[in-house]
Amino acid sequence: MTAIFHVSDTLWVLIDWTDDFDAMLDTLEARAAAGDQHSADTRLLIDQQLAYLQRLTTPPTDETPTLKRVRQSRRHPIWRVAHPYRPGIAVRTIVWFPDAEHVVVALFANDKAQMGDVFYDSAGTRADQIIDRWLRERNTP
Amino acid sequence: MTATTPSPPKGFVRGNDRLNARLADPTIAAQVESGLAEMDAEDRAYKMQLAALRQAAHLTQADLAKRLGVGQGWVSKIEHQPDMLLSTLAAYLRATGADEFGFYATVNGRRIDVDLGPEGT
Repeated sequence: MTAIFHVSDTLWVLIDWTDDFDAMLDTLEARAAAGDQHSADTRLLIDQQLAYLQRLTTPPTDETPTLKRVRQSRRHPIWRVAHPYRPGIAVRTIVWFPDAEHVVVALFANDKAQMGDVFYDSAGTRADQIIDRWLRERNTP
Repeated sequence: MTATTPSPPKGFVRGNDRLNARLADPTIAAQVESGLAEMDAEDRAYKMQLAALRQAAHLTQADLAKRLGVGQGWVSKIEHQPDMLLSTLAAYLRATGADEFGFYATVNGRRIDVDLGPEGT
């Protein structure tokens, strides 16, 4: 493996996410700093999911409660990351594993009302757009 | 990150830096570790359910595979997959030597047992 780095005795997978996702994290942190507990809890669950991904040593093959294949995947096989039950809050991150060294955050939902069939039915198509952009830009000198 | 880390594609952010900056806060790090331990416990419990039945019968995956007339890989797959046909589950349970199995639903406070096949309850 060439792109898993040994830093401070920690092996990690490279996690890429979109500028939009990054901006959403800014918003959550600002709201949390202003005292919004729901935003603080959401931000922490995102940290947990990202830390989980960062520690993976290989792309997943088996499904678990935390990591499951999204049946509605289209061209690129995507997985959804969940977390143990928390009353009133649910965070789902949709990711793609291009290889053993990277994981790309493709979609995100933190509104329970968004997480039904409508979200997953369109998840494959929407994730494909993000993934195609990642592939295209990665290959652009 | 090291100097050899490839840059993220344009329009994307390399998230490890931001994540690890958050994890440098001991309070956040402790909360994240606690959450990761919960996730790990759930994942392990999930994987253990069928395997625990097999182990209770003192059978290896190879033993069970022989009883079922399948390869050991099939048993491993079944023990890790989240969903399966009831007939597959019944066959697995039967092969462990279980002679009484099924599931139940409680409807309006009344327990209803659901048959899982000839050897099921």
